[in-house]
Amino acid sequence: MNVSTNMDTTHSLPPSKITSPRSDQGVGEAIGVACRDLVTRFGHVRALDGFNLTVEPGECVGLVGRNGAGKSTLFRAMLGLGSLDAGTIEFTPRLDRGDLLARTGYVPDTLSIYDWMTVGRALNFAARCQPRFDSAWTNELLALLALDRSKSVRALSRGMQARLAFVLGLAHRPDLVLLDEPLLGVDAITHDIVLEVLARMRARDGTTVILATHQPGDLARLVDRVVFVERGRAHTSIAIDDLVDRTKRIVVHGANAGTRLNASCKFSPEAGVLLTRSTEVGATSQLTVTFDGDAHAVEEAIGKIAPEARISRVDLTIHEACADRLRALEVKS
Amino acid sequence: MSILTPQAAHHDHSPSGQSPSNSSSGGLATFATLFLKDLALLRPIAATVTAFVLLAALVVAALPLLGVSALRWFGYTQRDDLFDRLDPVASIALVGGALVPFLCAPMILQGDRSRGAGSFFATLPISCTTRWMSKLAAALVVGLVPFVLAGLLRAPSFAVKSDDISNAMSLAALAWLAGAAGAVFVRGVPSAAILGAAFAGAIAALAWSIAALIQMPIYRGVFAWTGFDAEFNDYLEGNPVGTFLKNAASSRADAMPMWVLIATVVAALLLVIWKGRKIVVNGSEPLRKFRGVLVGVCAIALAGSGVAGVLHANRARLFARDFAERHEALRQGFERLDKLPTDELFRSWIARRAAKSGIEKHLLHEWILRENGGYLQPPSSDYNFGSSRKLLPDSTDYFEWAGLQGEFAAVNKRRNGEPAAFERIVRGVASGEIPATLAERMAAADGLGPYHLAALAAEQLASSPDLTERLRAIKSLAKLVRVDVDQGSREVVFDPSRRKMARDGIPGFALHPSLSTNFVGQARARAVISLVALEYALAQAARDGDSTRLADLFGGPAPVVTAEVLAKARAELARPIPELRESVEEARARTVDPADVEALDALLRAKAVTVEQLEAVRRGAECPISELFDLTQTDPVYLRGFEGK
Repeated sequence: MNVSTNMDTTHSLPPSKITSPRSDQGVGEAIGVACRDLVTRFGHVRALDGFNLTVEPGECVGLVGRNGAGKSTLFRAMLGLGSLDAGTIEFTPRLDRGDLLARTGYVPDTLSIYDWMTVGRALNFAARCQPRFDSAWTNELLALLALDRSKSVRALSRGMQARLAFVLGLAHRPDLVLLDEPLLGVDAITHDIVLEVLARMRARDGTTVILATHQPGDLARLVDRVVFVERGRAHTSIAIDDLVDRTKRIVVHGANAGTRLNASCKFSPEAGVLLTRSTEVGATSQLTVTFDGDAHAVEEAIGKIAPEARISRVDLTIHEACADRLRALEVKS
Repeated sequence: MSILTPQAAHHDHSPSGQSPSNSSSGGLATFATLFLKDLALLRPIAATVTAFVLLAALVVAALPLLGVSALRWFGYTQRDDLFDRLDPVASIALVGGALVPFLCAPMILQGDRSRGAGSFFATLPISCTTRWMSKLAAALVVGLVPFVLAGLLRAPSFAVKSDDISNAMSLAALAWLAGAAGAVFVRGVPSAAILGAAFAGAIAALAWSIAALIQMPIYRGVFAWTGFDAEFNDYLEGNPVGTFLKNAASSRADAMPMWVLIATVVAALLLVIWKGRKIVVNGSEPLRKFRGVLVGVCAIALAGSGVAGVLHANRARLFARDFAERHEALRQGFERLDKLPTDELFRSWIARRAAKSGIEKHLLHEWILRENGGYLQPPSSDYNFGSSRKLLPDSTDYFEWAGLQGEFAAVNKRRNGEPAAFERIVRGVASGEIPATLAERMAAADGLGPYHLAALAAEQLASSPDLTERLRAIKSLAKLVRVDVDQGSREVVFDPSRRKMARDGIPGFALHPSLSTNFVGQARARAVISLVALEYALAQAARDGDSTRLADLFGGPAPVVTAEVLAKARAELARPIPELRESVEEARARTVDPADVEALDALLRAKAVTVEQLEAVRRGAECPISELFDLTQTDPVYLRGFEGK
């Protein structure tokens, strides 16, 4: 089916597209991962610095962090590509490296395939080297993503390269999928298709997914929880449903309220203040407070310190919530 | 649950540490796919190299279009066929085959990353063994191509040039290792190649330096320079790898330190490659435990050099033991010679040279032994078999050589002080003014010039009383002419001291192509050429009536060479050389010297080849003179007097 000519399928994947049976039934048991105290050094830089993360089989986890936080290094460590200086990575069920690679799909942020190949040759190469390669499934993905087999890899645009990387990573219908910024440069329709494919894979096969992204908006559609990564450590793990609910922001208006509150930033430690930002608006100052917890408790604490302050609540998007939490981690670090 | 600890993560990538996995792809189809992919990694360089070789072939093939003079400038004649003209392409292939691996090794090892598929290749469920084997197979195939090409292009003279090919292959093996070691540290292909070359050089230099440091104090005071000079000259002159391998293959103690040092370099490079294998196969970061690897390399270099040093020391001890008495005798001999009157010293020197060349085994059969590995019955029973023995501490040849060196030093010292006296005596002996035997006259004439020696050799050939004298005369004549059959430069004629004999003055000739591996036949043919050149020079000078020119030509008063002597010499040349051989089995049965027994056993093992070579020798010794030349390119004057013989 040509998805580009069907308005319905461009936004919503038909169920038939991912319902073809797996060729190797019985292998598709979901994989869990437990990373404990991972340390990887590059010279003086600690790319991973005591990283801990547990992903249950079938779970979908989003990794959010700034550039250089250690997400890609974590993926490479999981795949055994980079050497660990300390820590352990455990997979459930028990897997040796061959099994792990055969059952894991890795979608890097840039396409990784030989530059002299065409799309078709690249897929043929993968088919010969990947024992679980599923040709029917791959053809479905190619059709969905409108990839031309005869096109040279060199001639692909940024977005097309991302599509091919996605196909190559998922061609063997992995039980564990590691996605490192898979949606960079893709158009909105492809974006939707990719998320839809992943969601359906989860729903049908129970595939475990770990998605690193700089586009937090994607998380709501796919992940169960979000882990914030900063300087090689996993700092916060929060369920996706709680991310927006629990991340609150208020703005405190008042002549001196902001200054006084900012000076005593521990005005309500039990309220879980994440971040405060003071700004001058004309002659008065205002304080923006982002916190994780009960808004009433924070407002009460503010009222005690600055009774004259006027407080307004701000509804956050998932993107704003993630950004504020990352800022908070950065300040904390 | 599976647990990847830091250690486990390390071992998990290794071929030995790779657990067998049902999910891993390692079958023949996968191997073939990887192999083709690894070959494709060399695309960037393959196009350049192929274009270069094809261009060279095209240029060589098109040479005839430039005319005969251009062909001659390149050393060819019009009649040379295309196959012969392509010979330089074989040289290009050899050089390329030896050097290109510096680039090919990093390209094969790092190609997955540099061609954009590093993480993809690394995450394929393929065993490390399969990955390595496909890369190794690709390297082997690519590495062999230039040598096969060179071998094909040199098919007519392949045996002669096998040394070139083996030398180039040795260098290529080192280049593959060094290039791979360079690829472990840096990612750029050219920088990896340069680093690899520097790395191999540094390890070799380190190992040699340490070994030299260990052995030098032991060598000092035991005639050090002579032993050192003898050993290294033998390796460095001519064909070092071939000589080295020849000695090493015979398991001589001399070669052991060399083997140890080479093994040291190879072991150090292998260590680097082994430690860095994850980088090139898994595309992970550059070697992080560099300090540890460096310590390992140094440890290997130290250990290897230490062993080599001990072996050298042992060898020096053997030298010293044998040398102590002889060194003293040599010293006393030198002092005695140094006190002789000038005339007596020079005449003694000439006489000794003549006597030595008379009893020495420097006759045709020695060439055959050296070049063909065949076996001929030696004229004397004390014949030392095989040149590989001369490096042994108890080698008679070695001490003979050292004795000559001492005598030569005494003569040289006096000659530098009294050059006029030396020249007077040499000319006097050579021309017969000072009474001397024919052997002494020839020994003296050897230093005067090729025509003078040719004249005396013709005289000796005409009056040779026995086979040994006859062979000696043939050899004296033959050594004045060099004709490189296999190189295509068929008209180069010169004497060993590089003074041209009659390059432009003699008629054209060409040896029969079959003589490229037949040294007896070549020697006979060269003797004929030498004789013709002498006749021409004499006839020319006589026609011009120019006695001054004649004296210049002969380097002094010309010896009298009559037409009768020349005719008799020709007749002697035309006579087949009688059977010199005995069967290898017979020789083996009567030989008691362990070294000769060992060499003969080796010959028996390679009997098929030996028999073939000996047959070629027999043909060369017995065939008519006319079969030694390519008659289509040879002036009839060379065959005058030989018709029907």
